[in-house]
Amino acid sequence: MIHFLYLTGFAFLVGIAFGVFASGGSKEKAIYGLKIFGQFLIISLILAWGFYFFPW
Amino acid sequence: MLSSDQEQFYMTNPFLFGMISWFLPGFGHLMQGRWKRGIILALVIWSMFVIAVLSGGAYYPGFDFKDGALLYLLNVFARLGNGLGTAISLLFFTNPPPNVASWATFEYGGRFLEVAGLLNYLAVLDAFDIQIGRKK
Repeated sequence: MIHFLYLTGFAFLVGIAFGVFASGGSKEKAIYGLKIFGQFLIISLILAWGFYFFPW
Repeated sequence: MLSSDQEQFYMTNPFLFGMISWFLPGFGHLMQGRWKRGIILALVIWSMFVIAVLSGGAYYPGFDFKDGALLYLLNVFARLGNGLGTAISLLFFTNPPPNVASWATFEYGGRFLEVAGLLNYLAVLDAFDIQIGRKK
């Protein structure tokens, strides 16, 4: 559980920072930040499941 | 006493804003009057730093330069980005607990500390770009 918490916290904070750095208005920044957050979570979970099948 | 030319130089110098932004994450933007951006960046970077330190990240990678130069140098470069945080982590977290590497959060702490530094490098570039007018 702690691994998922760290992943979520990491994605949340990095998503906010990237949203701040993004160009555009407040709405565009918020959407970009949410996209980064979602991408971190989804890609990490897919990779985690994928690595389960590797012997190392 | 500074002359008006010197004052103008210090108040508009993009490198100075970059340095301030590096040393105190978010502060460069605050000095530029970008309150929202500065506060959010400061909160994000310092939060990551605190989480990293509490997770044992200040002791990462836990080996000497000769045992893994590339990983060691990447870690040094990334954590140097924390500015004042680098000094804090070096001054107050030099003696690791004997079992720190076995903590479940040890690796995460290392990543958080590195990413906080790397995000701060981006904040420095952002403050610099704003100062020279390349970014609004």
